[in-house]
Parts: sequence; structure tokens; C-alpha cells
Amino acid sequence: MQFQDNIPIYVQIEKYLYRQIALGKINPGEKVPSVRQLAVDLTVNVNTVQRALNQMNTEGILEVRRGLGSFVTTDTELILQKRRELIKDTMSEFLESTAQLGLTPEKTLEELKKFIEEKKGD
Amino acid sequence: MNKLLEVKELTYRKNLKTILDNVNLDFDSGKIIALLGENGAGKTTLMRVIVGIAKHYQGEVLLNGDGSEVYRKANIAMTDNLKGLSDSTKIEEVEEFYQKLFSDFDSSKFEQLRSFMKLSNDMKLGQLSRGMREKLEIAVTLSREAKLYLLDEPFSGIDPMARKRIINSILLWKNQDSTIIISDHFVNEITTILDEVVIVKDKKIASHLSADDIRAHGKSIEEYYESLYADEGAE
Amino acid sequence: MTTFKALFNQMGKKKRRSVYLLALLQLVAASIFALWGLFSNGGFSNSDNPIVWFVMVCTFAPLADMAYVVLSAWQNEKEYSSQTWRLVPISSSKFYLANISSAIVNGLYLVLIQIGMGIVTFLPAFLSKDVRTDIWEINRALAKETHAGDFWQKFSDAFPIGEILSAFLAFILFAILVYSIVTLLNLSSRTITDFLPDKHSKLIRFVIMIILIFIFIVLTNNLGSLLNQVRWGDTTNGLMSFIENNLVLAFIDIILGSINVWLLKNFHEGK
Repeated sequence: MQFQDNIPIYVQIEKYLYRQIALGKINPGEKVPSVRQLAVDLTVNVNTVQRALNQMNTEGILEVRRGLGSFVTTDTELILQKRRELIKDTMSEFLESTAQLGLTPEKTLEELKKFIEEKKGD
Repeated sequence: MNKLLEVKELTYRKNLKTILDNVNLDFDSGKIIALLGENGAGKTTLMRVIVGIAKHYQGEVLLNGDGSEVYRKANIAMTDNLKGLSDSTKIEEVEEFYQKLFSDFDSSKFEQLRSFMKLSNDMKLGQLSRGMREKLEIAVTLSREAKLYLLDEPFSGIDPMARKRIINSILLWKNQDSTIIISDHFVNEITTILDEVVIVKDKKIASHLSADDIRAHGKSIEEYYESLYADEGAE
Repeated sequence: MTTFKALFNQMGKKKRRSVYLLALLQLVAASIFALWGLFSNGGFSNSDNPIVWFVMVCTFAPLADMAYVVLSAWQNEKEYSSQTWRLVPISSSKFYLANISSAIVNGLYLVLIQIGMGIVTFLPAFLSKDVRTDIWEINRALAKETHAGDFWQKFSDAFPIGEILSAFLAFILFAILVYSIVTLLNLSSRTITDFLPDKHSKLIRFVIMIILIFIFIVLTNNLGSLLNQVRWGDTTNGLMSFIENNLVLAFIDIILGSINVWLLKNFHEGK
């Protein structure tokens, strides 16, 4: 997992974990890999993993149980909400990129529809 | 929380030249810190002062509040630690040297690191390539249970694949409370594991920041480092 | 923290290897020369032949000993200047003592090996009838003395224990002196060089060493004449003069040692 060096690492770790949860790769109630394991898997510092987990704990997505590890919340509503937030973030990043190419949001929508149609044809 | 390492008003001169000028630094335990600076900026000298090898300096160096040289040597592990052994020394003799002379040397950890680096016990120091020698230095250094690790340009002769594996092993084996300082003259793939960055420039500490603070401004560590040299113009 | 014993042992390893190497070289050289002596017309008559090996071993022994002093002093200085060794967590004074004592102890080990070699190479001498007769006559003479009852008196006259021990002590103190002087020259010249510009540092260091040697010789001469004026006690008595000399030697060793430890602690760096 290659992280960018100009965005705080703990933020990127959070995003990564949210995606894992949103995609169902880690199920509600399931234990998240240990801090050390995540650090090695993602090639990041144990401290930054800890910071990310603490942040997610504050937001309620994760439940840190001392000595046992971090567990995904069983609150599926919260998970869905987070998923919606992630989708919104992705879309907003997409619109920013297309805006840089000179497309308005309406034009972007047009081009996107065309593109999806073409894709169906393949 | 008490600081693990304090460097106070350190000035170091040699051969009538000032190498470090009124350096002040402190570090907490449990961090991974990069020490960046050009070649000849004084990074190695700073490490040698910290560990107690460099002498006759002004100022103070305290490890856990203790300034004695023997305490520092006993609790700090530094690379560049094999030059004094002859070329005919076998790796198993290197292990014996460290195991007998350093009470915090963990032989089983060394065995793991040694085989991880694909070095065998009967290889002689004179037979090792530069990269293998550096791997051995790292293995010896990390096998000590020290409070502070000083890695001086540890990866310069090592290929990128091996570098990744070594970095992973550092993450896997690092003790929660120990601090690692890695020095280099360019920023490489260690940036994502850093907690803090210290930049040495013009004999002083030009900057000491947390890595995430730099990134919070949208800059990569490399960009930040280069920006400090921006006003000097391209070569 | 590293123990003195552990450091002493590690420092001794290299020196012990030198001991074995030099003892071997001595034996090989002596053997070659002995063989050459046997087969040439180099003046060895028949009855002398079995002694040749022993004589050659004895001839080469001092050479091996001197080579050992040079080699071990060289190894000592290398360790003072080596980062690998100086990183060992032990005080400068213990480091210095471990270096010198491991050099001396292994030197004594070399002498012991040489004595052993001497005994072994003397054995062929028993092949010669002349040698056997000589030894038998010595035996008879000794037997007569024992009978007379004053054997121990004669023995202690021939081998005065006090003086032998003092001589041995003097030898050790002198060996310490040699190593201390070499170290002092090395450490002080390097320290002075560190305070000068680093251009032509090797040349500068060489010049400084010459100057220091010169100063040292002048000081020694002055010190020598000073000491002669301060002589006390009965200098005709062998034992007393030994003890006096030993005290002076010990005093000088301590002074030089203290300077060396001070230099190690405050100035001299390993690279």
C-alpha cells in the first residue's frame, strides 16, 4: 500500500480502513488487525496507526478494547453513513479533477453518461 | 513525560573548523525520526557525540537525564560498528564479540535478522559486498535492546527490494519505547514511517517538526526539505 | 555495562592468535636453521649435533618476543583508535587496563610456550653421550650437597627467591612502561593533530611524534640524574635496589597510565 507523502499519514490510514469496512472486507463486530500488523502491512509507523485508530474510535466506527484490540462497530447505520460520506468525498474529488480539465458539473454529468453507455457496449 | 534524549547547546570543533554550532534538540521515546542534511552537514558527527564516541565538545548530552558516557554507550546502538574487526572475522565471531561485550545483545534476534538478510555464519567480513556489510551492521545494531538506535545512512548500499524488507523488519521488531534516528542526505522510501523530521543545515538545526505537521500543509517531506535549500539556486 | 573480564578476553583473542603465530614461526625458523646447520659444514661437529635444535630455538626466542611486543603494541593502538572497540560501554580506565594486561598476560603465555619448546627440543640432546655424562655428574654433585644438609642454603644462594620475584616484577613493570610510552606517543600526537588544520595531517603527526620523542628523551635524562641524587637505602644490597627500582618504575607507570586514561576519556576518538 503506497501512501502519499503530502497528506498526513494517519488520515490516509483512516481512509483505507473506512474503505475496508465499507466494502465489507472487515465485518461489523469483527476485529481489525493489530496495530503492529497494520504498520507492517501498510509500511507505516506504529504511532500513526495508533493515531488513526484513536480517531476512528472517537468517531464511533471503531471500538478500542484495551488488551483485546480494535473492533468494528455493530452499528450498521453508522457504517452506512460513513460509506455515504466516502462516496461523497470521491465524487467531490472527481468533480475537482474534471473542473481542472475545464468541465462544469453539468458537462461532467453528460460526458459521464456517454462514457458509461460506451462501456456497456464493450 | 521526561525526554529520552536532550542535546543542549552543543558546539563541536575539529581541526580548527566548527562542525556543529550551538545545537539544541530533544526527543521523546517511541519515535522514528529522520535526520536530514547534505553530505558533510554534521549528521554523523551529531550521532557520534550523542553515543559518546566524539569528545571534547561544549554543551551537554543527556539520555534519560544521565550524561555519563558509559550509560549512553550501554543504551544507544549505532551502526558503523564493524570497522574495527579484521577482514578475516567470521560472522559468527562478530556475533560472539557483541554477545560477550554488550549485555543487551539478543542472540536469537540476531539469528533471525541474519537469516532474514541471507547472511551465513561462516562468511568472513572481507568477503562481504558493501550491501551485505551494511545489512550486517543493521542486524547487529537492531539485535541490541537499546533505548535509542542511531542508523547512519543505513541503506546507501542496499537495493530497493532489500530496503523494503529491512524497513518492514524495523516496524515489526521495534520496541514500543525505543526511538530510532535515521540519517540520510536524501529523502527516500522511509518517509511514510517517520514521526519527526530534523534538518541539519549550516552547522545548526534548521528545522525540527513532526512529519504530519509538514503533511498537514500539503507538502511532502521531500518537498519541504528541498524548500529549505530553494533560495540557494540550482547548481 | 561490560565487565572487565569480558573485554579482557575479547582483547586477548587477537593477541593469543599472534602468540601462536609467532611461536610457530620461531619453531619453523629454528628448525630450518637447525637442519641447515646439520647438513652444512657450518662448524657443527658431530657431538654438538643434537643440541643444534635447542640452540636455534633459543636464538630465535628473543626475536619472537620482540616481534610480539611490536605486534601487541600495534594491536593496542588500533583498538584505542577503533570506533568498534570504543563503543563498548566501559570506562576509559578499564579499557586501558584491559588492553595492557591482555598484552602482558599473552606475552607471558608466549614465554611459557617458548619454555615448553625449549624443553622439547632439548630432549634430542640426550642422544649425545657427552650431554648424558655431564648431566649425570651434575646429579652426583647435587646429591653430595643434599647429604651435607645445607642444600636449601645452597639452593637459596643460587636461586634467591626474593630477588627472582623482584626481577620478575621489574620485568612486568618495564613491559607496562613500554606499552604506556607507545600509547602516550600515539594518543598525544593524534590529540594535538586534531587541534591543527587537517591538511597534511599525516605529515604533521609524524613531526609532532618526533618532537614528543625528543622531549621525552630530554625529560628522561633529567629525571634519571634527579633520581640518582634521591637514592636512599643500601644500593649494594641486590634486593633493596630492586625494590627501589620497582617503586620508581611503578610510579612512572601510574603517571603515564593516568595521562593516557585522561587522553582517552577527554580527547581521543575512535574512528
